[in-house]
Amino acid sequence: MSHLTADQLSALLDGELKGPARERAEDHLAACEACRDALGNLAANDASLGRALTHDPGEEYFAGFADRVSGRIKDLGRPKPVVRTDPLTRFLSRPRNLVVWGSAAALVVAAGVVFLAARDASHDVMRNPALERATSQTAPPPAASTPPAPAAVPAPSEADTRAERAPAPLSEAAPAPESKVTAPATPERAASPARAMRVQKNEAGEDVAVEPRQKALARPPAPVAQAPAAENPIVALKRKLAAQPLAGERGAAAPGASTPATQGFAVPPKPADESAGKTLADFEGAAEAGGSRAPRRGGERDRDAARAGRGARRERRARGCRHDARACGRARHPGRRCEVRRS
Amino acid sequence: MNAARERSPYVEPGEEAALVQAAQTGDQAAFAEIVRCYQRPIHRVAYGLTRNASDADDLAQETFVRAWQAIGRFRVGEPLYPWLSRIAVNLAFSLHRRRKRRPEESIEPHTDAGRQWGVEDDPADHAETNERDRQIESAFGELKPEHQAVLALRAVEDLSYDEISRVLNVPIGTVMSRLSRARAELKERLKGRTGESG
Repeated sequence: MSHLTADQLSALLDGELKGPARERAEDHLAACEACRDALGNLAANDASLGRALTHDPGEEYFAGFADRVSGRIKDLGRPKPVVRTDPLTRFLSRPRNLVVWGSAAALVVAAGVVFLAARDASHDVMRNPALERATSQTAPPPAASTPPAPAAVPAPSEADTRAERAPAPLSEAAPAPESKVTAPATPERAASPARAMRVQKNEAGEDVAVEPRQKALARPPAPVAQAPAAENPIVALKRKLAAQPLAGERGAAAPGASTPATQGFAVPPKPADESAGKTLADFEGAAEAGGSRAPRRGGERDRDAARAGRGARRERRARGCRHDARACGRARHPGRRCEVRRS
Repeated sequence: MNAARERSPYVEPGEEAALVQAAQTGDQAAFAEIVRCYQRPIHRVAYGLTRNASDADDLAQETFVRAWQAIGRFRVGEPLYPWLSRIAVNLAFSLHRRRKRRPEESIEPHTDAGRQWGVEDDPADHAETNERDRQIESAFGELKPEHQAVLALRAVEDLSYDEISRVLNVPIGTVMSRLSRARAELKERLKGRTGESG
């Protein structure tokens, strides 16, 4: 036999147990002494409580009570007029509602701020120039012989890739490629045309600007079908230098129309088979032996170019680019693939 | 509801509505009549929640002052007593919170001031009853404010669950469960004080 619960006893004491529930409780009480005792104890406590909490201040107190209240409200003036407000205003006028919903709104906003801050934190690290510089000073550049995984390779925009492939020193021989790029490269890149160069001594003891990481790449240039590889500036330079060895005579040799793949660029066209099959070593040899994209007017200009090239390389390393400068030159960007590597 | 009506038998519903309407227009005499009608029950609630004659006086007066300020928002036709009791209970809760933050010794001693012996009372019985009442009053004071309120409205004012639910603005089921828990807790605290098996 289960006893009556505290709720049942309490409701029974207060006469709030109705219908069959009350009948069952009374039947149980008739048979259960423990529940009768419990109910009696509750009743005794209520009676004691009623006595303990009752206080009669006397008739005199109540005789003057209304006057005391009237004296207080007299100073307050008329009561506020009846103002029927809309439900929203009534809702907002309750401090409890304001606290509850204000807290909920604050939590939502705080969660959103935390989420956005956490999301931007990783990007900020990559974008922070100071961090990028620090990273470039401490982290050694990866070996070109171990190209990164394709999934991690950035995918530069076509315009940017073209801008990178366009030989900056050719600006003297051909119309400046950057000027026709629909989406120009970053200002740093545009301002450092010799960034892909480094200075070496040739056989004659002269300083020449060469492509710094050309030797490290153990792969041939991109196939002919890929327009950017077919228009390798070194090949074009080599061809031009063979025809016009003097810098002053090179200016007149403006090429014709561009290929469809390089539409919009002033890259000198050439037969596709001209660069096909050539290795980077060939290009390097051509650069060292014959020509130089930088003019040979003293070492000062070459030193400036080399300095700019070092700065550009450092910048690329800071951006996470692990490819050859001419092949990619783009900042490594998560989630994007390098078109050059993919090809 | 019935209990409230029984406690103010001289206020008929129509008369009460007329008094409220007059008070809403600024008639202080009409409001004074309302005060006279409900001063005793409101004072009982105030004393039950404060257990102190001085605090009860302040609380009862403040209840009617607040009612005067807010009578413009009162809907004519609604019973006045639950509304007044709710004001008193809320003021008592505020007083509890203030006292909790800043405890202060009550000036009014918790004696049986105002309670008078009957001629037929046996002093020995009275002392025993008085001791038990003192203990239960002390145990009552240790309950949560919402438990105190529901117990006071039930044990002192003898309000029904429906009336208590309107005064406290909680569902009837909440009133039932709160009363049950309040009684159980009171019993436990009394047991701890007196050693009764209870």
